[in-house]
Amino acid sequence: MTLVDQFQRRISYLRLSVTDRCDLRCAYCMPEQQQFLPRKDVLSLEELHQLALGFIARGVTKLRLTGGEPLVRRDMIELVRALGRKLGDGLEELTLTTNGTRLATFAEDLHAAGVRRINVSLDTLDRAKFAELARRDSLPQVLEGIVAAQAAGLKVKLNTVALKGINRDEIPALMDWAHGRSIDLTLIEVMPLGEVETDRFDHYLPLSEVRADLERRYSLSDSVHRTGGPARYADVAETGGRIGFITPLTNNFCEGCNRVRVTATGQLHPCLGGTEQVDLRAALRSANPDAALSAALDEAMRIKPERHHFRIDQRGAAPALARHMSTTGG
Amino acid sequence: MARLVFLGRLQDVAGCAEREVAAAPLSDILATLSPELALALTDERVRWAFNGELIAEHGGITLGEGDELAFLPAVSGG
Amino acid sequence: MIDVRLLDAPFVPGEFIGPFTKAHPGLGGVCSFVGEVRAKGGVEALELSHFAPLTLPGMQALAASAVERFGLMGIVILHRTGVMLPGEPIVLVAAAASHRRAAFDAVDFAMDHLKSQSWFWKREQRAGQWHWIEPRDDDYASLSRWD
Repeated sequence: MTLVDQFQRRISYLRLSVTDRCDLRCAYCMPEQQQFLPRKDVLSLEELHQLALGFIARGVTKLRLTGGEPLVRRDMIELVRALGRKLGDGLEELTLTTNGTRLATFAEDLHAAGVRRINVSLDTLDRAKFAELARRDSLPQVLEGIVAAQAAGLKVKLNTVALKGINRDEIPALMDWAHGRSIDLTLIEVMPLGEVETDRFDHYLPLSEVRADLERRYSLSDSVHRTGGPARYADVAETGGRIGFITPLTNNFCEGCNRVRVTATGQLHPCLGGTEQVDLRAALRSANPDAALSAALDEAMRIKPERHHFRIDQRGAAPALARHMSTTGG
Repeated sequence: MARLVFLGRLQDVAGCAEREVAAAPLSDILATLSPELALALTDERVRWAFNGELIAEHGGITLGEGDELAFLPAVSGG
Repeated sequence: MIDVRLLDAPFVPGEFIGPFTKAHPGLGGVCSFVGEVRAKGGVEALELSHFAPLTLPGMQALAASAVERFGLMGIVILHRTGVMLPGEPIVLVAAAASHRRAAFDAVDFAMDHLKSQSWFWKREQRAGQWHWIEPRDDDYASLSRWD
């Protein structure tokens, strides 16, 4: 039985967070003193595997591992290897979103396990700015990680959060740098998730403005390229590369939604911007995990909302959701 | 030969209390096990004892002739 | 005296407590705790397994730290392994001290550590099926009282 919600959207894509922990503290994502979850609340590697198999059995063909930072979880690579065995046997793509700090260590193992594409989150190439934004001086490791990933045969895409007053001026150069290395770049608008210290509104930068900046220097033409996600793409004539725009706040992208998210504690969120959730951990830890998991997925399909309800248009407004991105997985 | 020792519920996952394996780097040994067992053994709540001594680091372990690696899940005594 | 043992056969706690008390002339008090297999919830049997290189050395270290921490005159820690039936003793902890408070606290301390920090794995048989017992949240909460 494939997963189809009540708006006839077929769910084929699972974003699975394997840890809420991260070795960076990006100001827009989590507070400096983040309280991490007790380990016993987090799904074990076995449970994550069992859960992923349950989704694959219900027709999920694309699996992305997220965090926190997935590669900080000890022995994560064993999970990647185990899931890699399902490639060609129900699973079509296994991928990962990472901050890149530990990529140099794991790039070859990821490729050997069957991973072919990864997304690296990177907001700046300026070491001092990176250290300020991420509260850790880790840019050199990230760059080394990207080089190692490409050398191992992984296709790298960069995800960059557009932040007013932080990286706006740098985005054209960042795109140039990426495209010069055959790396596509996707820009993301700040999302209103979780309480952090800085008023998020202060960094809110509509991508329409970023695109206008870029169009002063480059020729952008809308691309028909689609990945089944919220990004809209443009080809850049001068670089031969592609740039994506994810604008959850100013454009609606819910009609074609094909995905669900599961947190590191096994909570399924059918919508990134909604409060609906289904407890898959309880299902996995019940007497009959396979049946309970399948029933929980049916429930998720029943409650997946038609659209999200993000708002960020009021200064000082509480976030639409009190849940941190590091919990849900981006 | 080397030996893997399974304690507690890991015995159920492994289907035995211990297993002889050819001496090799641990990563190679894990690759020969079922994914379920490899994941159960490497979970972060499982402690490892190499020749009877707890070890903190998991990286770069190689089992030589006669070595024993024990896998200790969360305890429940008393 | 410090007497720490793993036992693989049923034992009678009284046979240890009497001699232990006699071994400490001039003590203020002996406090003892005996844990037994409960028959509750349809439990037919209980099995405790251990890991020889770590379990007994860990219990000896626990005994030494209790003596040091509570200024005990002596401590006994006996713990069963193997298969036990309802009503059989699993564990005996007895502490001898000059004052009762130290003896009470030492036994409490040792039991919390035996339950959630010593190298034992427990499973129960219900309706003919064995089930591994996971540590419970309140076991960890009890342990954290001694941090």
